[in-house]
Amino acid sequence: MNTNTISTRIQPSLQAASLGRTVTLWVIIVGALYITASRLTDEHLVDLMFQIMLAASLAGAWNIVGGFGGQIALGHAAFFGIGAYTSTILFQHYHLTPWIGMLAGALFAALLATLIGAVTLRLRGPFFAMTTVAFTELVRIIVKNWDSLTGGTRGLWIPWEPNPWNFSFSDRNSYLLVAVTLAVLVFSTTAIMAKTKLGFLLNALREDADAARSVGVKATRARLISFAISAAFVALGGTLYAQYSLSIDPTSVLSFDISIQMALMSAVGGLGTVIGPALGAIAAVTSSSLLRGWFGGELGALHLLLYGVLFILVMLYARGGLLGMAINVKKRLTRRFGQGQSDV
Amino acid sequence: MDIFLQLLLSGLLLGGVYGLLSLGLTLVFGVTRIVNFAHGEFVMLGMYLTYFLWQLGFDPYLAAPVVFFACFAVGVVTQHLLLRKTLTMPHLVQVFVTLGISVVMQAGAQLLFTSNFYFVRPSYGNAMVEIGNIRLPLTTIIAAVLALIGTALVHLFLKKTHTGAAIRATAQDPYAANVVGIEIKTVYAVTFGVGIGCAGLAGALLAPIYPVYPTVGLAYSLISFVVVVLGGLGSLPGALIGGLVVGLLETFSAYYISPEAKEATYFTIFIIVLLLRPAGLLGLRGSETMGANH
Repeated sequence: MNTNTISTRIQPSLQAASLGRTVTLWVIIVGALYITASRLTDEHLVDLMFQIMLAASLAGAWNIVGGFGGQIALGHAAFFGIGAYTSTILFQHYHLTPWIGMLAGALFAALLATLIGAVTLRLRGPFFAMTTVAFTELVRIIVKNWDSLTGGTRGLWIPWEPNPWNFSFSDRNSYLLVAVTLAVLVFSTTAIMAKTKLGFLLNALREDADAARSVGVKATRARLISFAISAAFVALGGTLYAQYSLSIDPTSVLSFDISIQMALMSAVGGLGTVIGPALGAIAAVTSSSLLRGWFGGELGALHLLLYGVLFILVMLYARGGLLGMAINVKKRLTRRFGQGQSDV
Repeated sequence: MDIFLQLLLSGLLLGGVYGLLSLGLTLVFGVTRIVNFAHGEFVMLGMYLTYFLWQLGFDPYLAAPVVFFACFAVGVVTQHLLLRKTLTMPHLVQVFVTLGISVVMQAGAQLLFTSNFYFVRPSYGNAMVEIGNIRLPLTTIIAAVLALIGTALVHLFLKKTHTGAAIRATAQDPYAANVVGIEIKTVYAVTFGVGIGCAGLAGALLAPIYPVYPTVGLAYSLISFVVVVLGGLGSLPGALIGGLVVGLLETFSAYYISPEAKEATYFTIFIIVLLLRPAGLLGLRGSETMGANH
């Protein structure tokens, strides 16, 4: 990360050229995603792609705090649940369309993240991690016990009455298009952030918080903004999940597993990189679906077992994740065959 | 008054077990500065081991020492294979590797034992002890007594043995300890072994009281986080005091507010303590500089 930013500063012309290429590539990928999302007919594949897009959005949003900021946030399930419950409750009690409820949920999550961030971001490493876990458990307990509002452990059902204005569609492709839009939003934000001031500040804070502060980096502000953005995106994902699955309860949207999954996919794909979390999400969702197809539901834990092992191995031996490995392979090939520019 | 006494005693007994449960976490942190996010999963391991030993005909409390040594061995191997490498790595890696271990252990338990609840039910499992108007389950009393004995033994080990002195020296200053000829690697391995052994032993004592299932570990991880943060991460007496406080909080809030309120109460206390005094009540010197930057 560090060497990257230094080299781009030394070679501004190269930066402009690579920026142009990146934007072109980005437009092609986004176009391809939208075309696939609208043309795909196989129900199973549509569902698979939806899961990938949602997972990628969540992992990408987590990555803003966990990857770029290097803060061990293990409580993002709280924001996911807040997004899901806010839009659903507003719809059921006030008949407010989930499109607006979604924004309300995101705003609520961002405000809460700012509040929690203001008091916890000064805590370091494991202490911050433990506090975020405790905070999520607190949210889960409140939701579980506020029966009149949240339906308690039974949760809430969303009636399926297709009406685009109410974020309810007769075909899965429409949900998929929303999921693609969310993913595009998350990853465009991360890409822009990585190349602008906020990204550089987070980078500096992650590498050496004390040194960054001593040269005038406003640590708390940079971290609060990133925390709020991250929480808002995860909350949007929460509403999308609720509208798609038509039912939510404390276990399905507020459990600790969800927080871990976001961190896991992001880390396996490549912490603090723009597209790493997307690779992690593709790997996680596809392998989970394949393993379930081969072994059936009762061996579902096998996927978790393999993923846990992979997680440990990546952390110990290849902290760049899948993306880091791919870049390494590319570098080695370039060096061996001496093609193209020497080192990008 | 009787109810108050009943709650007080139940809370203290439960707190004694929580103290032992958290002792391992705080010991490992004090020496290696690693917060083990898989701590609860090792409690789960202890509970399953106890269940299978009981199925083989052992009394669960006679099985407890066996479980301790089995978990000690697991701890030494885990530290040697995985955590040894992370000692010099960023906190993020340490936390994620222990989280990875917890994911693997949960999934492993699910594959091997399914998600069914297992109960350890010795013949005296439902026996109650009556003192005046106070009735307490026999299993809780035995668990608390054995937990206190276990805690005392760990303290004696640290104070009276050569290895214990080496562990305390390393906790204070690993560099200086190394200079005077202490094998740091061995110290870390033994510390992790004892820490995991305590978690397993706590699991053995809890097994006759609570059921065991693959995801039971999270609850115990969270309880031990609350206890050690309250008592001060790295402080051994802090673990016992924190354990007693959490035990009392849990029992009293469950009775006076509602059974659901107990968790909410201790998480609220946890967050307040972390914010006001990250080093905890009896915090280890130096842990607060890592806990928050002033």
